[in-house]
Amino acid sequence: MNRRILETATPPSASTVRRRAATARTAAAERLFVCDPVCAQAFGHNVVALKYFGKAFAGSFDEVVLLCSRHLDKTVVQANGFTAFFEFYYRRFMPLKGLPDTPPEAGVEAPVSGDRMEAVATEDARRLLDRYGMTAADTILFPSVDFYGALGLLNALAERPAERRPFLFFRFIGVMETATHLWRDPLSELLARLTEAMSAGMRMSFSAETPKLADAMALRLQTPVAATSYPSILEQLPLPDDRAFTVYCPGSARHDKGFMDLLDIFRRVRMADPEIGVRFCSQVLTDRDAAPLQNYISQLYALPGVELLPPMISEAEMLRRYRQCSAVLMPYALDVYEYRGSAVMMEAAFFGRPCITLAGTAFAEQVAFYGLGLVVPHVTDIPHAILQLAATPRLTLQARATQGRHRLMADTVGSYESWLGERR
Amino acid sequence: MKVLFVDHIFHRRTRSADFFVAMLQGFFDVTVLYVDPVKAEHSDLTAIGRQFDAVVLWQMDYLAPVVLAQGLPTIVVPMFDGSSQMPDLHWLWARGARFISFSRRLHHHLSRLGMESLLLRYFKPPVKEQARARFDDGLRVLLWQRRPEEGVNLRAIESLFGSQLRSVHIHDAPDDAKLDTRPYLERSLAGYELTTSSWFDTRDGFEQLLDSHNVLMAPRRAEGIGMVMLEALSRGMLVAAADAPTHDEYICNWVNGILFNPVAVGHAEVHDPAAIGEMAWRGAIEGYDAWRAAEPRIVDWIRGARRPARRDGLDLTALQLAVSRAHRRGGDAYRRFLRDRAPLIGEMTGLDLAGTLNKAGFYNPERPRLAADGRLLDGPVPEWLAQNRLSAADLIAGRYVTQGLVRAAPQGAAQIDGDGVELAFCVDPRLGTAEMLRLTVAPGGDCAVSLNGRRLAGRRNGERLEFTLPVGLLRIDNRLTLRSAGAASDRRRGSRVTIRQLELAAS
Repeated sequence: MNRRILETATPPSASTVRRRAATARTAAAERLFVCDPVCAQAFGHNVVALKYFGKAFAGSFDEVVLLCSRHLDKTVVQANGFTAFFEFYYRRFMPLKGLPDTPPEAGVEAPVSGDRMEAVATEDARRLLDRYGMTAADTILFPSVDFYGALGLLNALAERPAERRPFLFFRFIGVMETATHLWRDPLSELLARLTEAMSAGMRMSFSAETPKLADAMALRLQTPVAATSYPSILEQLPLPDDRAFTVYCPGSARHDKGFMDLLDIFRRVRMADPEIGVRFCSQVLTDRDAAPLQNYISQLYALPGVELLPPMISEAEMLRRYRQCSAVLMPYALDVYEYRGSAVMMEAAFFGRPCITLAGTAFAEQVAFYGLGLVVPHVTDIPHAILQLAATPRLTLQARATQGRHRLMADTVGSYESWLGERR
Repeated sequence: MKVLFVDHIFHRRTRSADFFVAMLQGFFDVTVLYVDPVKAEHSDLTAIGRQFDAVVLWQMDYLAPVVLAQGLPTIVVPMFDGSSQMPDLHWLWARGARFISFSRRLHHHLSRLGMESLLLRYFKPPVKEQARARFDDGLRVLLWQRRPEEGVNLRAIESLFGSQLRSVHIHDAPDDAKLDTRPYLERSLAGYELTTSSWFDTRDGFEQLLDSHNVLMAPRRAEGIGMVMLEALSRGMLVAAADAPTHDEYICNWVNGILFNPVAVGHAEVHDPAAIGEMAWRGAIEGYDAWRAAEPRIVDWIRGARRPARRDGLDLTALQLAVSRAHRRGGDAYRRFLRDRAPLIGEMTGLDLAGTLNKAGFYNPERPRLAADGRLLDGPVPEWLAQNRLSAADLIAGRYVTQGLVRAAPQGAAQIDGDGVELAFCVDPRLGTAEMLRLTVAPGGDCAVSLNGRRLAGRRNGERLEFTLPVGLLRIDNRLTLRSAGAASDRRRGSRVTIRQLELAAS
């Protein structure tokens, strides 16, 4: 079956899409359930990612259902066409406002594992399978698999006959796969459960956000794991033609995103660029995290040419900042991002903004391979890289961004086609 | 829209709020009322409800409850120098107001308390490029000597700049008119010209001084805004200022100025003062543009202030008198006053303050509540352990501490006495699975450790005590108790253990 799964640099015509869709459809409606139990906050990347995945696969299935946490703000749920469904399993380390006082595991009988939250997730998965009457013709995709979401689903499916077990796609991103304290080695536990489920005949396939993570997971699972970066529904934005070259640090400010390196980087650029030709823009740490770092943040605030944004900004504001910027800075921690990809990197690539990042992260390999920006060996090399980009003619930057985006999109489309084709 | 602008009487002389009043006058019908805090009870604010549509309290934050109780939309503009040490109850009582913060740090504090705060940074109009300060004939330093007793004085100038000085002018006009400033005018270095002046009849006199110098020593340890500093930045002067707000929110050290510690002033070898001055001037251009661009937001912020519920039945005259007197008496008296009125504050603001205040009046709505078995009761979670480590400084600061007392020990260590301490914290599992708890203790120290109600078995490895964590014992939210496990003889004289670091590790 020849499916177009994602948009391409040259989108197919409407008639081609209709023809392909007609060819693709079988008598039984094909339904895709995109599940993200961690999608419980209006801010951050979960909402955006769920939306992207929904749009990217909308033309490939008869029905796409996007399922998020039942604690996500109702207006966000409605605005994006989500279905609020899952309990939130991670409330103890992702503080959410407005959660009910009683934790979901309270009063739940402990399963054999002793992990009450696993029982909660299993009950969620049972409800999911029952509510939609899922069969083997259906597909469930976890675009960023989480520990309890996966365990719950596997437990619920184990109770059902083969004809009522949908095909499963799990995509690793190296974030929530280990989000539990009740297991000595959560990742090993998760992978062992997946391996057991495969041995028991459950149909499933895997991908990971970066090639490095895919390779690592493939060795652990002893099965091929595709490499699928972020799907794109984003249009390339023209580079601004104003005199200033604005460097943007998108997303929430965090220690592992190099927030504590920013002052030194910005300062070195400022000393080399006294006419303030290069400007910087970053969100600040949350109020709680910022409390012991007031001197540092004040010095960032005092540096001419630096604009500090609040800890949380709206999606529209973030888009506006992408539009205004000329480059994206990502001095991310090598240990945390050793295997992980970056949604920011993918957004920057699709918007057509060059990244500046450090060698050693998994996504830096993608930046280097696709020519999506500059990869430098050490954080002290970043100021020079910024000045180098700022001195590059806009047309050259634009052409490079277009080419990098084109290559990345072609590979992304291909990798998703190949991966999702595995259910055939 | 009729706006009452209530200001401190001192600003009638310094005119430092005029820029804001002038801006407001472009959009509102503004009446200015100067209040002398020494005679605050004589400026009756209790019957303004019908005359104005909104009230702006400039640096007179403590009067907010009196205004809010009349059901008037209230905008409070606190200043860092006057209000940074205020207990949280001071702010919570003004919860119905909107805030405008000219200090980033104050803005952060207000935001953490859940207040609506608009962060602004004022800049003076920059001079034309040809009028910028010049640095081709050495450093010519100007100090308006307002608080020499705080360490901002001639001695500090000499320490900072030493032989780089060409001249120093001390504008000797202290805030305390009775202060004998002669000791602060004695030089200890030769080789530069020293001149002095006192109060001028007009502002021009001080402006001429600014024009004829290229370095400004900011006059105080901390500022609300720092008008003199802003004058200097807009002229492209090299500003040297004490490392405190708001100086450190305008000056990035060695980029567009120099920050120093007034307690221990070091030497600053300034190789390229012109470059620093240029950056100060360029930053002022940018900052002034941003300030002008912010005007519509300020107007919207004031127009959008909510009308609070009117509090009938409250004796406003008595309230204004009491709050003014308590505030005038200073820190401890004002704290006691606020603490005694916590029920009224809770009632007026709709906040449940029970169990959320410490003795100093600081508010912690997230203070963890623990059940007898150590499990968190439903409700807010305790603070997250940063990078799975807890330093002695955290302990000394009381961070994570829910019971017991930690004292500062030499070399930055934390001392726990025989009664021990109880800590509550959250651990992010995404940082890795912890199998071990390590304590670095001072030589000879020993520590008994219980985690979530279970005593841990430990072993010594040099200065480290290592405790293996049984599987499943460490949770997201945890209660840890640390107690000295010293010898019996130590216990008799009050055993203690000195801790340098606590760390959760993989193995």
